[in-house]
Amino acid sequence: MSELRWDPISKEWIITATHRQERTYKPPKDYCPLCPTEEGGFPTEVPAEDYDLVVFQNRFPSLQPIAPEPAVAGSDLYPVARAEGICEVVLFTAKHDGSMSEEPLSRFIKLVKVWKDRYEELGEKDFVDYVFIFENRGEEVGVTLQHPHGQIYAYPFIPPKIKKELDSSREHLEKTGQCLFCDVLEEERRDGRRIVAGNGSFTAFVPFFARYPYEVHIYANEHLPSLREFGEKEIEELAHILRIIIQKYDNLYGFPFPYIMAIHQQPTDGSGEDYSHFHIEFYPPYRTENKLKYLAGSEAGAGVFIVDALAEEKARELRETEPFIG
Amino acid sequence: MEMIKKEIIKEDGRYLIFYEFKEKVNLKTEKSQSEENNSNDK
Repeated sequence: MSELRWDPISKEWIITATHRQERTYKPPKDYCPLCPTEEGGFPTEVPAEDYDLVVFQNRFPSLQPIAPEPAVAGSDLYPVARAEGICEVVLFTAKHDGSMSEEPLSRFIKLVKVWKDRYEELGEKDFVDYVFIFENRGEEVGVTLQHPHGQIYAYPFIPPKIKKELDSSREHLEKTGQCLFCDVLEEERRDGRRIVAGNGSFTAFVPFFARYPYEVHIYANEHLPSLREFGEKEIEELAHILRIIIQKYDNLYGFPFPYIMAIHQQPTDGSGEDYSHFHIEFYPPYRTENKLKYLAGSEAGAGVFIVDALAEEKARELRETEPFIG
Repeated sequence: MEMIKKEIIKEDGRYLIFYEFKEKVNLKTEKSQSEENNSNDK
């Protein structure tokens, strides 16, 4: 069963997807469903003995292109809707073990090209208003399959966190004539203390308002609303800076650093070209080498993050952490 | 680098796309970016 339930208090859709309880949970390596299917071995999701990058529809989707009718009746106060959309899995490599930080730049370039393709193809669909590309990395953030992979949710609405961002950016544009994200980037570059890395097309920094100690945002240096506007230069330079940030994360404490990675860009409903600005946000759960940051009373109950670290110091740590030289 | 997509439909109706890339990435770009990466971090 799967449906959208409206929360009239927070004004947000909630997805119920009870079938996801059955999804594969931490299988042993020999039974990884994301590895290639070996001759004589058990059939995985990928019916091939090897692959480069693969995208497929999630077997346990929260959203479906042909979604069933809601299992419960709605009301004026509690509207319900079909959970229409698409959930995809993106396999970064056929290799089960290891970290993306050990992969060559070419693999990152391929990944960005695949992201761009998925953004454009899924965004063309009438029932898709927002293509959300993300990665959950590490058991600490709830990963149940170790094989390097990410996900894409094509939502039938603009997700609330992104809508809030875009509302702020639209208001800023109306007030100042400037893109809010362009102004944030300019402020970060002017200050300089929170910059972690950069190249011709992108800047990575721990934002002034970071909610997690090692939170990093990567902004396009130019006002590029989405992957659609990326040429070869932007694709290669996004791959370049992504690799550097992940390498720095993994070198920081000497183990694969868990994180949630979220790509924010223009909705695909036609809105927001002037005030959407492509950027990536990383939320790593570690606050020290062996302590996790939990979302507790203030964060989960009141929406107020308490961060026991200074963004300027954490940016310096990351800036001084060498990436792997590969 | 040319991207080639091969889509198949699985038995349960879900699609799966193989992405293949024909040309190798310019190693010079990779090397120069690695050098840039080092200088940026100093």
